[in-house]
Amino acid sequence: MDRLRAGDTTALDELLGLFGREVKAVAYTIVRNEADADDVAEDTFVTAWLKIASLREPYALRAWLLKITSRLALRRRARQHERTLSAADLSAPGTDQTTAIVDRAALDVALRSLPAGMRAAVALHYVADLTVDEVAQTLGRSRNTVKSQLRRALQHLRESLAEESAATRDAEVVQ
Amino acid sequence: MREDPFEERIREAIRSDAFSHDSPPTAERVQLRIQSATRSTRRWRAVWSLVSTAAIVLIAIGALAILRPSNGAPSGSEVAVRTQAPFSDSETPPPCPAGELRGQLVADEVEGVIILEESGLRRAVIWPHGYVARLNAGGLELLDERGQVVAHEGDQIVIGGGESGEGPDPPWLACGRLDVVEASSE
Repeated sequence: MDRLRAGDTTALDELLGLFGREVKAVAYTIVRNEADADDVAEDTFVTAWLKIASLREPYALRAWLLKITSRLALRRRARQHERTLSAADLSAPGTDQTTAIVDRAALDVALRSLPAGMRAAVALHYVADLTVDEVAQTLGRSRNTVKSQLRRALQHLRESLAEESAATRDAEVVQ
Repeated sequence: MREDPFEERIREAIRSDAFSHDSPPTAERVQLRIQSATRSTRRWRAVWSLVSTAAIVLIAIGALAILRPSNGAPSGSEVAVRTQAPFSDSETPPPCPAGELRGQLVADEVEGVIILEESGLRRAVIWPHGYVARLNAGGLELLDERGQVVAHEGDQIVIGGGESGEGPDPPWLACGRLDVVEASSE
């Protein structure tokens, strides 16, 4: 922290090494496209670098970074237009492409249909492994609101994925 | 509380999806953005500093203009009064009539200031060019073309000049003397 405040760029490298992947993953879950997720992730570390003096508690660094990420991602999400899925968005190296695309396409559709705020709660709870209380603090919402959002998100994902699964089975039967 | 099986599967699927895009931000790109943001911030700070300084100067000039009218006359809001047109350098002003109007200087909603004659007649006045009336906390003041206070509301004054036209109660065309014969007690 002291090295960051002193403007030590090697400290920035270490910060990126520690939190870069997680920040990018949370950003992607919210904005749902690679290019915007890259921008949000980079902007998160730029903001952290420029405003490190405002962070009083060093042990809250990770939560602070995720708070910045969520805020920037939600802002970006509010401005973006929904893009159609591209192969690059769907490909997962080292997995069966056909199965992965069907599952991931369904998951992507289901996640995209969630309101932005709910998506942020999902990203922080399931991707960053924050507890409900931590998610509430990060997003500036009450514990009950976050619990309700996660419950409704899960229900929506369950229904969406069940529908998609049934549609896939029907398509296979027709073929 | 343990997650149900579906929630566990969803968590795995979301995490797998999120972390499959394995291109975290690089130090090089972040540092480039930091440099760009710092340059932009400096530029905006310089512009803002210039704008705010200019605004403060303009406000100060405006405040001075309001608070200090010409020739150091007291501050206040100007009250519109009728005045005569100025004479150009080539024109010879007509001789001032030898008449006198006596009465009390009082405020008037329409004329700004009028003379209340002893008979009760409210006489409008066409003041010499450059005269203005000002309303201060202390009341109405009449200022001459040099910005000097020549009379206050309530003063008994004598004005030289003459009636400006035919008909009942024509306005008084003021010229020549203007003397306060009895100052207002207020």
